[in-house]
Amino acid sequence: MADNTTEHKWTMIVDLDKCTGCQACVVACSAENNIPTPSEDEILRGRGNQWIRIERYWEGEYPNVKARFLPVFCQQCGNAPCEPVCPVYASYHSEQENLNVQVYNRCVGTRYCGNNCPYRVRIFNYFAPHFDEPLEQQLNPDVTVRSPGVMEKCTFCIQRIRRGRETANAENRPLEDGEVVPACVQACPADALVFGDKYDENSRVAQMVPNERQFKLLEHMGTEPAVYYLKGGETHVGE
Amino acid sequence: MTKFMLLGLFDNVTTTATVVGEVRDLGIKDSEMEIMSNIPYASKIFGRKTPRQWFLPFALGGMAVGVLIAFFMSYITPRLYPIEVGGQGLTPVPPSAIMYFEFMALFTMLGAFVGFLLQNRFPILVRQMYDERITEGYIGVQVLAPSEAVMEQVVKVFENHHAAVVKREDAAGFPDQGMRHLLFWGGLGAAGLVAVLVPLLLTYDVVRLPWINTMKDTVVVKAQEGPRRAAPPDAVPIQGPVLIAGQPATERLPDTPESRERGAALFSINCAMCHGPAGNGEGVVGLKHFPETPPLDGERAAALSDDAIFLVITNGKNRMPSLAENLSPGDTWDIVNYVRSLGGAPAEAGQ
Amino acid sequence: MLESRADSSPFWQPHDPEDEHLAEQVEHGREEHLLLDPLPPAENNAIVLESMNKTGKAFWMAVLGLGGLTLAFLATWIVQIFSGIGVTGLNRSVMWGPYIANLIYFIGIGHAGTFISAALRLLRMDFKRPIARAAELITLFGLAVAALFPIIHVGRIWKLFYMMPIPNQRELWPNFRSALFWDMTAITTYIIGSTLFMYLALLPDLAMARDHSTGWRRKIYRALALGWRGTEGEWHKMESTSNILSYVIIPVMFSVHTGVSWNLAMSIQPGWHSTVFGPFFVAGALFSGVAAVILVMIVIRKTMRFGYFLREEHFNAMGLFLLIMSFTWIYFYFAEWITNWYGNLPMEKAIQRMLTGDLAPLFYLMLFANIVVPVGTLWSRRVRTSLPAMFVICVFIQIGMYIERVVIVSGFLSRNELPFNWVNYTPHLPEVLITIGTFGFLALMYLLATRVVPIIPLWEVYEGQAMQATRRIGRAILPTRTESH
Repeated sequence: MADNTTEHKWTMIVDLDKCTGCQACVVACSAENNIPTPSEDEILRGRGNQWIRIERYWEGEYPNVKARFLPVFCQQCGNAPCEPVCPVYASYHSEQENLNVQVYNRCVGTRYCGNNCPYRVRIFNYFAPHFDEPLEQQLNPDVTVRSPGVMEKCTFCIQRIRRGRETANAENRPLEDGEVVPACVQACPADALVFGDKYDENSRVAQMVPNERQFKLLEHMGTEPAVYYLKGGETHVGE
Repeated sequence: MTKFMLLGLFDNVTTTATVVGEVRDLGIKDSEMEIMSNIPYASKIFGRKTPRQWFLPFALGGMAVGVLIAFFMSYITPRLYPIEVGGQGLTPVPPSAIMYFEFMALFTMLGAFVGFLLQNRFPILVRQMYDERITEGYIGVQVLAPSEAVMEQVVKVFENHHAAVVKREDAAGFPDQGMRHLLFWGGLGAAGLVAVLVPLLLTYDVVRLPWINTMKDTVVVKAQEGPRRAAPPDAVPIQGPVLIAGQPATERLPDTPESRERGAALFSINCAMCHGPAGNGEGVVGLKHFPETPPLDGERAAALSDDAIFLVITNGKNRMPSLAENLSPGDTWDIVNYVRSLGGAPAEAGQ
Repeated sequence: MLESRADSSPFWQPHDPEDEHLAEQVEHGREEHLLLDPLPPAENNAIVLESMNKTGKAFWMAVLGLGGLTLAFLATWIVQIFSGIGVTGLNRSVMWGPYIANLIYFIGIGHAGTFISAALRLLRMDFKRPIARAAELITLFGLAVAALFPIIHVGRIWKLFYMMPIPNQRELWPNFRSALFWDMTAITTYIIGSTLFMYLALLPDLAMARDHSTGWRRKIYRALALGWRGTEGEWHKMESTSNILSYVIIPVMFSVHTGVSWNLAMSIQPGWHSTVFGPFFVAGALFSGVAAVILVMIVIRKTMRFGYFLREEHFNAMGLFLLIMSFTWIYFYFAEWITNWYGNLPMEKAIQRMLTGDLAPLFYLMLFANIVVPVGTLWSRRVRTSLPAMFVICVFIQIGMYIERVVIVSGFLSRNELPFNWVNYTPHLPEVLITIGTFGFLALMYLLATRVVPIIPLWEVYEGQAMQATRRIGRAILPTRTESH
């Protein structure tokens, strides 16, 4: 049986030229990963808990103003600053998955990793999660509902990755490109997000990475992110 | 011959030094004299030798313990369960240096303190020759006189130098610590051992305490849980079985198409892995069983009453586990209805 | 002419010169110096023991008030545990708030105690003799309160044992590569070391209390004194143990606050990631710590009538120490500021803009309290020896240092690499209540301890008085010091 465990380097490509800032990925992520909907008050306190956030930067002065959208989520760093600071190994680099993972059950909530993440993509559960009726009926059984006091973050929909891999293993075939897609990629109407295995030379991401528009977020920090951004050209709003 | 314990109190250093010299002239060894004060006077002030002490072994022993613990923390524990973090090795040097420093410092201090206690035979659990005026600034000279004659001479020396107080007692009244001290440290050691073992019992779940585990009580509906509630009336219609609201009945459910549909859904979740999706006993797991998993569409199943099938599902049979935890009675009846539709005899009950 | 008091009469009996002029000088020296003004130990013992026994109306009122604060702290903590950390004002960017700032602050005020008793002991500074015990108690209680804060801070307090290095069925040990674990070991080492160090020096005074008290106190002191009689061997071994502990605990003391600062410096948060943080925090800790010791000295002198023990010379010496620490702190703060300013990196610039912009009131108050107040006043001996002035100055320094810690922790965190995540942090009621409550808790523990622990290390004072001598040079009588070993 083909063992597809360590041979993958899951990679996400965000084409900023295509991103319209529609937030469909944010909604899809919340639905897939059992993220409770924060109240308005919580948002005002600066506690947006979505694993993806669309950072919106304004360029220029009114009325010649352009909006730039930058979807930011866990960059799945190869050298993650959040990992060594955790005293209980809740945040660590999983060699099996080749991902930066967070083990909710180990977390005691020191929030050190959150401080040490330059992208500020780690979310703390300030309260016990609450789902308004009937939202609790649609919770994904493959994903834990996190208890209060633990850190969480984007997982690249690791539950989907594992399911895809197990299916492929059971059918004794390698995983195909495009077989595994995280919820955000699935939901993106503009096809701005592309997900795949960079080690598979024929995959879409592997083809797209050598691109002159390509850059990594905060690349100078040496975190070796697994998310590549493609520079946007003209994303105009208000013209 | 009875020995005598003598204590004289003097109010200044010079007199005390003279007394010490005269008592020594009476043939009493330095080791049989003891000087007590509320100020750390150096022994040379009284013309005596500085007492001997051994702190090096205690400090070094403590340091060695610290090194061992630091080695355990920085070298052994990362290898017991190796976890990569942030591209660092398992035992990077700078953090290890911190471990060695802190643990060595801690155990050096503890070692020195234990050395202090042991060399002084602290805590002292027996009666001692003492006078409370020593903490008021008087200097006490304690002498162990080997005989009554010597005792008289010593008392005379004390009185010649205007001792404020002279106490004399039978030396037998001041026993050695010996056994008591051993018992004390033994008890302390035993208490320490208990203090180490009890947390181990807890951390290894030998003794289970009901402890908070918020992660266990998740609100997610689990994959093998029973049918979900019906969608609200204004929701988008869904395809597949339409499920009823509320908890299913506990008594026998009538054999309706809806019940069979629900049963089919539950069957595929709970039974199909062994009994096969078609109920012919050829499930992925079932094929590996010996004796083989019985088919549900054959005569054997037909021979069973509905109640018997219900009991098998609820209690389990042979290799089949009880499914009572996963299925409510209503769910179970739905499955019974579905199993009946697989090709066994028509349901006899439910009319 | 050399006169040693430990000569041919008890050291507390005065040698009055016959010459009138000289006698006047001796009298003056007695007023100035504690060590030249010995009283019979019986009287001094009585001063200390009576002050411990006295629990008047004011004492109980203070206990009640501080107990109320402690209860407020506990109640808020319980509410926070049951509702979640969300009741605080922390947010997605500012995940560490005043709890960590309090940890740093309380460890800081605990710093001076060990420094005063260990370092000044090795340097043989006589002015520390009556102060050492009061300072060590601040260390103990400051550390105890500081150690509470990581516990208050964590999200899942019921899983805190995951951080302890104990064998467990999860087969998981704590990560020794985390700066939090270094900090934990350093604080543990320091608490244990400081306790041993304090207890060791307390033994002779416990024996004194045992000999001259009655009832339940006598029983407690008898057990705690371990049978101390003050024999030569006991004193000699205590001396050696104290030396070993002093030499070990001074580097540990530096490591503790360095460890705390490394919690910040090991992360890549702009403004935190700085090599200067270790010594900078140690200097800040000593600065606020010395100020805290002076505050306590003033309070116990006033309330426990210790005018005999705590004299102008002690406040003068501590004031000078404070001035030096102020200079040290200024040096480090300037070094950090100019490095960031000159480097002109956008992130560090953003933080400096925030300090002089949004946080300007706090920032300038801190500079005023930490620089202008001490440097502008402490050069004057009159200020250093005036209790009300010293009280105000030390309160200012506490405020300044507290602001410094809060700004460094939650202020710096609000500016990070991606400007979209810049937020401002305002404390909510729970943080405020817990912070104020823990101050009350610290004061309450200290207050209760002053009634149980002999707060003046009497034997050290007696030793100093017995070994003190005066020397006549020409027409003047001057104090000299001798050593018995």
